[in-house]
Amino acid sequence: MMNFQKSMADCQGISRRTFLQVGSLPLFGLTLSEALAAGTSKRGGKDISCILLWTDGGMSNIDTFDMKPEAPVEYRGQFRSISTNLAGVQVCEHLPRMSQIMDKLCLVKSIAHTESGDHVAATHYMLTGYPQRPDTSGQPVGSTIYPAFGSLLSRQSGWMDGMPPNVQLGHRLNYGGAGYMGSTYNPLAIVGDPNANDFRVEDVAISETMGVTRTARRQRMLSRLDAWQQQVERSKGPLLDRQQFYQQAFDLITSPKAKRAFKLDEEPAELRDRYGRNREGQSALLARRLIEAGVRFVTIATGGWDTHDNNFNRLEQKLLPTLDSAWSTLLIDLEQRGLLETTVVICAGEFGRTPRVNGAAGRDHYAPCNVVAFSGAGVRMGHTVGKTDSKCEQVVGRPDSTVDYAATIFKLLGIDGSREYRTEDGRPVLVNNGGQPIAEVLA
Amino acid sequence: MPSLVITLCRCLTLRRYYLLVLAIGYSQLEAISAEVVANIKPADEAPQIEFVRDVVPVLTKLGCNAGACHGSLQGRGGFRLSLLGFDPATDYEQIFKAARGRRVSLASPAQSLLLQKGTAAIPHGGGRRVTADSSAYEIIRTYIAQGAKPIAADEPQVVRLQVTPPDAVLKPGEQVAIQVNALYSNGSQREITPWALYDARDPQANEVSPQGVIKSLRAGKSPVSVRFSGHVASVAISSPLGDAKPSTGFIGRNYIDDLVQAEWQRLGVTPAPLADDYTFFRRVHFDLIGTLPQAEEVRAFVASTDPAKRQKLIDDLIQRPEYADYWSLKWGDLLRVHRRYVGDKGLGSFSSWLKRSIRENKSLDKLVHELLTAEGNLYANGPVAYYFVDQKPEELAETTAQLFLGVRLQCARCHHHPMEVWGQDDYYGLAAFFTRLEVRDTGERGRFGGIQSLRTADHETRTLQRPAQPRLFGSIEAVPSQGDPRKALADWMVSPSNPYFARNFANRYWAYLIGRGIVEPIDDMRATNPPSNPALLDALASDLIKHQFDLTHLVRTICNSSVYQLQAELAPDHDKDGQLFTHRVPKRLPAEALLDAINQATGFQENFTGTPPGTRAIALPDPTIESTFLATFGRPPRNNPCECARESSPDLLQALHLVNNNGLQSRIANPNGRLHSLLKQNPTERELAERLYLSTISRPPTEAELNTIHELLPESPTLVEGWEDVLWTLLNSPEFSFNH
Repeated sequence: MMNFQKSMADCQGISRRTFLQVGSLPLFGLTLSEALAAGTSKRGGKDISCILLWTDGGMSNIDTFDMKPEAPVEYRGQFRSISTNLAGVQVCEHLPRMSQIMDKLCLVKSIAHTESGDHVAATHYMLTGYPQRPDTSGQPVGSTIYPAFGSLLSRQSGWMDGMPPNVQLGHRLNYGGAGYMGSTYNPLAIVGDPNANDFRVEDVAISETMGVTRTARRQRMLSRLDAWQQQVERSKGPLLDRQQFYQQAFDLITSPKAKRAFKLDEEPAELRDRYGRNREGQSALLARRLIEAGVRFVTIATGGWDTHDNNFNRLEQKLLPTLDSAWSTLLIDLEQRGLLETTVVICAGEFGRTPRVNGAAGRDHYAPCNVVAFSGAGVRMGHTVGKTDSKCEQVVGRPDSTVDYAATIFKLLGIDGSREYRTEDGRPVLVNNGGQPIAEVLA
Repeated sequence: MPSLVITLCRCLTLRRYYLLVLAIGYSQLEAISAEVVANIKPADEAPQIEFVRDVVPVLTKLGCNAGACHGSLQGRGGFRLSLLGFDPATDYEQIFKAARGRRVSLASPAQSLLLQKGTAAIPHGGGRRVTADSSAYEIIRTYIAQGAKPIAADEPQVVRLQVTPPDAVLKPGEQVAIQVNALYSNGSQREITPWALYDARDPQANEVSPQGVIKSLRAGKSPVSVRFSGHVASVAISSPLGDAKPSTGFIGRNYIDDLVQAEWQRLGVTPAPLADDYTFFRRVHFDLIGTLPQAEEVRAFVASTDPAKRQKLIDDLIQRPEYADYWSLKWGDLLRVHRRYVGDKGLGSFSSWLKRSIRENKSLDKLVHELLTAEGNLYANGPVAYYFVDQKPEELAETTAQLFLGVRLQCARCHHHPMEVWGQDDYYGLAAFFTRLEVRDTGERGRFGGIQSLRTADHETRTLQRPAQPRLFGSIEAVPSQGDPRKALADWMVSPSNPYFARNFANRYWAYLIGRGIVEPIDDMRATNPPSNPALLDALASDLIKHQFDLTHLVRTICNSSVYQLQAELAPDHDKDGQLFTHRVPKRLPAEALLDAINQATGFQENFTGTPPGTRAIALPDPTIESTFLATFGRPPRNNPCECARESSPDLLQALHLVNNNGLQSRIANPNGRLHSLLKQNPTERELAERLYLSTISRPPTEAELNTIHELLPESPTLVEGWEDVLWTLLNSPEFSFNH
C-alpha cells in the first residue's frame, strides 16, 4: 500500500481522480475509506500536523510582540511592556501567560509584503504565499486562485485515521480554500460556536431526532435502491466521485472517533476554563482534539483584529486576554501530550498595523511589518528572527517575502514546494515559486 | 540518392527519406542505411547564426525561459528572460549586456557563464540543461564565437507553422514522426522540428517525444500541440476504437446527426440507444427550464401517442416563463449580474433587461451589440452595466474576448500567450476600444452615491498599461479614431465575418445542452485546443448565422437531434469522456436547479431573504441572497466570467449536506409537505411508491424496486418513518441529483 501511494506521489501529484481510484481498485479489495484510513493510519515521523491561529483583520504587532517603549507616544501607544521568561524579550502587559512561554515561540518580524490596502489581497498572500488581485468588492477573481496551506497538505497527504485532513473553525476566510484545485480540497468548515451549550457540527453530527440507527437504516436503503450503483462502480468521473464522497460522508457521520473529537465536555472543566470559555478558547481546544483524532490541518479564524478605531480598549478588553489564554493553553497542552513534537502551531494574520496611532485611537493596515509566530515540530523555538526599526516602520536588514514564509511552512509540514500542479485551464503552477525557507526558523 | 554536402552538421538524424541537418561540426555519421552514400564534409565557414531565428528557439527548447525558470516574471538568480522567448530584444540585452556583460565571453565562448551554467560546469540551480557535445550547445557557442550579432531590424519573423501530417490515425502503439516547418515573413521556410515544443493534451492518450515523434497510447481522440516562436499548431491524433461500422441502427434527424455519425464511423464506435420517454422528458426539462417535471406531467407525456410529441415538448418548454429564468441565470453568471458592481437599482435594470431579452428571444447579435455599445443612465438602460462590472480597459478586453470570442486572453496582459498566437499587441489593441469611456454622476442620489451615467468622451479618459490603438482582434490595422470606437468593435463582433463569435456561442450552447463542449473547456478556444468535431462546430456556427443568430433555433436544432436524445451510459467502455457524443454524460444539477427540485419534491416553499415567497432559486437575480445550500453546491459568486466559476463537481460537503442536513429532514418530515399530504390520502404501497418515484426521479419504480421497498419498510418502527426514509433515499440517489 505504501509503495503504491509513493509511486503515485512521485509523478504529478496525486490527482483527485487517481486518488479516488485507489479505493476502487479491486486489487486491494478496499473501499475508498478503508484505503484512506489504511494509507497512513499510523502517524509516522513524516505526518506533521498544523494548527493555524489566524488573527483575521491583522493583529497590531507594535502593541503585542514588537513593542517600542522608546518610541514617541504617538507610536508606542498606551500599553506597557513586560519581561518574559526569555532574557531581553518583552511583550505586551496584556499577554501575561504568553510572556511565560516565550521559549515555545519563534517570533518572526522579517516577513513583509506590499498589500497594506486590501484585506483580501493580503489574506491571499499570507494564506498561500502568492500575490492575488481581488475585485472591487474583495472577491477572489482570476483564473488562478492559489490553494491555502491546508488544502495543499490535504492533496498531498489525504485522510488519516478516517478523519478529513483539513478543517476550518470559525467564520469563512476568503482564499482559505483550495483555489484552482477544486472543492475536493476545501476545508470542512465548522461554523458553529464550540463554546455554545448546544454546539453540534452542522451536517456532521447526527441529530438526536435522527439517531445513529435510523441513519444506518437509510444508508442501507440507499445502497439497496440506488439503481446506478453497480454500474457507477465500474465508471470514472463525477458519478464515481459522488459515490466515494457519500461513503466518506457516512463514515464520518457515523464514526465514533469523529463524534468523540467534537465532544468538548469530555475535557476537564478546569482545562476548558484555562483555554477560555469563549469561541476562540474552545476552538483551540477543539483543534487539539481534532489533531489527536487524525486531522492534519486546523485553521482557527479569530476575528475582530481590524482595529482602525479604539484599538487599545479592544485589545485590552477582549482580543488580547482571549488570545493569551487560548494560545498559551494550547501550546502547553500540546506539549504535555507530546503533540508539539508532531504539530506545528502558527499564529499569523494578513498584516501588521500602522505604527503611528491614528485620530480615532486606532491603527490602520500595515504590511511592511508584521509578527508571525511559529511553534512545535521542526521549529527552533525560543528566539526572534528579524528586527524592525525603532518605530516599527520597516524591517531592518533584508525582509523575507511571503514566498519565503510559505516555503518555511512547506518545509515544516513536509510539503514539496517544487511540485507543479495544473490549473483547470492547463496552466502549470508551482506549489511554491522559488521561495527559500527562513533558515533561522528551522530547528 | 544524390550526394549531400553538409554545411551544418553535428547530429544527423535519419528521418524518413531525408537527412535532417541540425548543427555545426560533423563528427560521425551513424545509422544511415546502406543505399545512402553521403559525401559529408564540414563547411569551411559556418553560416551566420541569428539570435531570433536560431538562439532563442534553443533557449526555449532547453527550458531556460520557462515560467518556472528564468522566464518567471521575477527571473531566477538575478537572470531574467522573456517567457518562452517572446521578447527577443530584452533577452538579447539580458544575455549580452546586463550584469556588465559577464554572462558571455566573446573572446572565449566556451567559458561564457551562460554555457558554463547551462552545462552545470559551475553550480546551476536549474541543473544541467545541455551537454557540450550537443547541437544546442554548438549553436549558442558558435553564435557567441561569431561575435553575438545583434538583432537586425528586418530580421524575418515567423508567420506560420506548417505541420506534416496535420492529423493522423494511429492504432495504439503506433507512432508517427511529424515534421514542422516555419514559414517566415520574407517567404523563406525552414524545418524546425527539433526546436519546437510539443505537448500531448492528454498524456495518457498520446506520448510525444522532444523530437516530435507521437505515439498513440490508447484508443480515442486527442491533440498534440506544437509551439515555436510565438506560433502554434496542433496535430489531431485519432486512434480507432474498433473497425469502421457501416450501420448502427441509428436514425439521423438533422445535420448534427450526420456529422456526429460520420465521426463514429471513422473511429469505429457505436452510439447508445435513444433514451426512453421518461428519461428524455426529465432531461429536456432540466436542460431548457432548469426545473424538475411534476408527476402528472410525466405520466401525460409518456401516455401521449403523438409521434411529434418530443418536438412539441421542446417548443412548449421554450415558451415557459422558467425558460427565461433559467437562461437568465446562465447569462447572469457570464455577465456577472451582481449588485456589488451596480447597486440595487442597477441590478434591477441589468437583470430585467437580460430576462426580457431572453423572454423576447432577442437575437444574439443584437443582444451583444447592445451590450458593447451601451451608454446612458445605468438605472434606465440595463446593458450599461457591462461597463460597471469591469471598468479598466484591460479587464474589459479580457471579459469581451472570453465571453464573446471564447478566447482566454488574460495571459497576454503580461506576456505573449504561451499556447496561442495572441500577444500583447492583440491584448492592448482590444483594450484600446475602451479607453474613452466616462462615468458621470447625474446628481441624483443612489445607494452608492449619485446615479451613474456612461458616455463616450472625445478624448482618452483611461490610460492603458501599454499605449495602443484600437485594433480588431487578429487584424493589424488600427480602427479610425472618430466617434465611439466601440461601434466598430460591436459591428465586427457580430458580423458573420468574425470567425470566433458564432463558433463560440454554438459551442457554449452545445455544451449546455449536451453536457460537453465540442471544444472543452468551452470558453478556451485556441489553436492548441482544437474541436473534437470541427465539421460539426462549423455547421452549427453557420446555421446560427444563417438563422440571424436566433438562439432558440440553435436550442431546437440541438434538442431535436438524435444525438441529444441518446441514452446515458454510466460506465461506457468506449468514448469514456463523451467527446464523440456516443452517449449522454450525466452531469450534476446546478445548485439552483437542485434546490428547487428538492423543494418541489418535498412540497416546500423556500423563502429567500428579500424576495417574494415562492421565488425559485433559478430566478434569483444575484448571489447576494444567502443560502448555505447554494454555496455548498457551487453557485458562483459571479466575480469571474469563466464558465469554470460554477463548481459542478461533487464533494464531501455536498454529500454531508444531503445525507445529514436538518433542513432536508425537516422538509421531508414536514406535516404539510408533499409526503405527509400524500400519506393522509391512504394510498396503497404501490401508489405511493409510484408517486414518489415519478415526482423525484421522473420514472415509475421497477417491480424489483417495489419489492425492495416492501421488504425494507417494516424495518422502520413506523410506516411514516419508513416512507420518509424512502423519500430521503430517492433525493439522495444519483439518479435524482444528476441530469442524465
